[in-house]
Amino acid sequence: MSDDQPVDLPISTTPPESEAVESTPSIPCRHLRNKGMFVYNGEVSSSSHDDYDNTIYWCVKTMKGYGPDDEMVSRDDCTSAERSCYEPF
Amino acid sequence: MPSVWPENPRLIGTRITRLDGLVKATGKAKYPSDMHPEGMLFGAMLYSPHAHAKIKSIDLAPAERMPGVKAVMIVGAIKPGSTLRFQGDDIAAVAAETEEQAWDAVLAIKVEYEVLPHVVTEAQAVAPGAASVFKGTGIVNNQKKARSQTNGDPEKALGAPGVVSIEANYMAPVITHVCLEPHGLTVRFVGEDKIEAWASTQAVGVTAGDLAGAFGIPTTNVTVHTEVMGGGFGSKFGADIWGITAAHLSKKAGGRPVKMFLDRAHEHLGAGNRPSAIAHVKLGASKDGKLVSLIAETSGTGGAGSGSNFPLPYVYAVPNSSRTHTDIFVNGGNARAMRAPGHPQGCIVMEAAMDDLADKLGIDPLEFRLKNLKERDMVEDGFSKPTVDRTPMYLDEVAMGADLIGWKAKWKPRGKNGDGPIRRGLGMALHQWGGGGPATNQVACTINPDGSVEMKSATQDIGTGARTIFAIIAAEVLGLNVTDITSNIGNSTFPPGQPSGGSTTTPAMSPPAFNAAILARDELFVKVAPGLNAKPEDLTLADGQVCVKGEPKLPWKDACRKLGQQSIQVTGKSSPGLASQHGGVGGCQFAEVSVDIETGVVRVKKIVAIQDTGLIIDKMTWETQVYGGVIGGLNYGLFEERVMDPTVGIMLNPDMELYKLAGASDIPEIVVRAYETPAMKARGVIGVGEPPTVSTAAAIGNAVSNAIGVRVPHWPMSPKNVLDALASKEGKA
Repeated sequence: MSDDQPVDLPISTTPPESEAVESTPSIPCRHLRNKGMFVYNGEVSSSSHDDYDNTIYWCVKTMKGYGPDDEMVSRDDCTSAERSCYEPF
Repeated sequence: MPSVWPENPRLIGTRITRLDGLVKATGKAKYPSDMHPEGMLFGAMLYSPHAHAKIKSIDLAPAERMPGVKAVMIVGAIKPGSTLRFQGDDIAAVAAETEEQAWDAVLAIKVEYEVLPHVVTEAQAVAPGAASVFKGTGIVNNQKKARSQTNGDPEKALGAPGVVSIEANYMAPVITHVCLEPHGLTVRFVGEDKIEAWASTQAVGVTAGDLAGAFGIPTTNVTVHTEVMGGGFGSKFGADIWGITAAHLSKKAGGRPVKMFLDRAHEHLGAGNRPSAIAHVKLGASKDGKLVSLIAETSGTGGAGSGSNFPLPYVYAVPNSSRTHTDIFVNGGNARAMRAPGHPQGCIVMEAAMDDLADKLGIDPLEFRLKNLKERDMVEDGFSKPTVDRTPMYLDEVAMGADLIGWKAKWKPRGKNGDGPIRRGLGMALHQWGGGGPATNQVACTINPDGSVEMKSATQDIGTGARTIFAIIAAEVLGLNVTDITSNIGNSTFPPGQPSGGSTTTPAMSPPAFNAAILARDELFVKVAPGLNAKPEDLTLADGQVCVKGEPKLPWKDACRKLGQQSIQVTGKSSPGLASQHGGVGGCQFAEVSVDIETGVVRVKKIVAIQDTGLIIDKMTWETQVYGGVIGGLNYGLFEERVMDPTVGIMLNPDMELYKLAGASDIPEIVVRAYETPAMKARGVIGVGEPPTVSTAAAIGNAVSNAIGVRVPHWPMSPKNVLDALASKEGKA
């Protein structure tokens, strides 16, 4: 590869008008889950890295990556009381 | 005063056969999917045949009328109007007298779908006007940007005079979980508010909590058993929707047990996967081989959910770097943690770029790596203090690995490995991981008047040998044989134990096991010392004897008889210094391959795996974890790939025939070495489940490129990808 042009990527990922979302300090829904909650007991994940987050979230109501309202499950998304399925602790 | 591991252990760190190895190898072990409680019904799930659809209507009545059917229900929050987001998304379930009746009834359920446009590949998902998988904060065109990372001025550094750089793309596909025992459980509702389950899970406590929460009953009313399990790899972390559904079916069927295990296709579709990785990388170094800059734009998909990010830069010191990552959402099953989440992808991308740049620089890639380790890479000791420097460990480990693979004698520059159709090559890669364990668990130790000893905790054995680990520790403390100890695990009602994730089980459970055995021993000493005319502090245990000032005085069983009718029952907790809290391990792997450049077939001839992990409790179990990790990495490097049909939106290989995994003849010679030094042992126990799987695929990819003289940028190293790369080199792609 060193002297060649890179092979084509099948995609170009630059979503228009999309900004990275900073994590929010709001209280998450009580149905939000990720594995670190159980494995690290609220401590920093031993596999965590300062510069990236690959946490896989799920909703305990659906056991999926999207909630009962069909929207995405994440730390950013599951803090809004405007969401019909949101339940605080 | 905190307890400390024995300086000169009799058992700890030696090679001890697993206590349950024989029953597993002979088929006598009863796995959760083997359980057949009286009156058991068979469960089956109806799942979406479409990648993206809206449910217009569901009619369960035809299924309810089928022979043998005892309960039918819609799953979870599904209702008319609900959206199904991937082939395999759960819809409804049946419990019937026989498995065949259950599946017949599933086929009888009438669902009217409104099929929606789908996106099942990354390219489809980001195309203009693509169908939306779901809404969410920051999602535009099925993409969500992660926080960008910038250190220094990477563009300026890359363009500086004298800097040699490469620009390349690398890709690793989505791979699916393929546990030999499928996901699922057998469960029964007992009375109005109690549940008993036999679950294939790596977290009995979490599974109990999920079941309790789903029914609004106390967790203490739920008992989850996992005596043994057939693989989890990160994907079996709770009751799951099918487990909760099975409990509902049991309740509807009057408390008859319901067995609900996924079929193999459903496993591939809905039981989790490792996200893809797509990377555009610029990497630059000075002519003498010091990295100066990395610019990386990466993306990946974890299906209809988060989690595709991965570490980059990885392992090496890069003074200037920038990184952007984009999560891409597709109509595919959700990602789940898979053995060292993110690290295999980060390792592939970084290590491929390192090899490509070394080739351009004309430097031995081994020497290039050693030049670019961090000056001091501090990791924690057993007291959570960063006192251990990983950099000299890497230097030692690479030297060990290079010697074992024969690097000096065999390695030749890329493209210099012969002219015939079969080319040989060598490759290497470095990795790191966490692997510490939290200090929040408990182990109960009981010494009975008949001399029997039980260790007990609500952890489970995902494969790291918890049962044997407990027994070794107790036998070490009590001066007994490992087989004298009974380890009872896999029951959610036992004292709280560690869920198995992040390589934390052994480091989390060894300290409370050790302290429990010490507490029990000391209580025994108090009870028997008067009869020996000695003080408790004068007593020790060795070779099945109670010793007074080192002299054997009383056989173990005679000592225990002096307990009368009362057992010693104590519970141990963790204490500082016995295990690393946050881990921090590393290692390196080397691969030797042969490649047929006419067919593109790659054969891995040999893998060398060097790994550090702190204090090793059972050397044999430790080694088997490394073997397993390497084999998992070999599958990622050579075979595994989820193949999606972009036109109809379905997975083309959801089975164990077309979803390729290594067979016995694909397994090469694997040489495993532990990097064990006094400094490592002083770190306490650290887990090894995940780290040895991280760098195998990267090392294999680098070995293939070394053999054939061109980078194969797409993993796995399948014949197609190899031949495509060769064709590209000749300008035929």
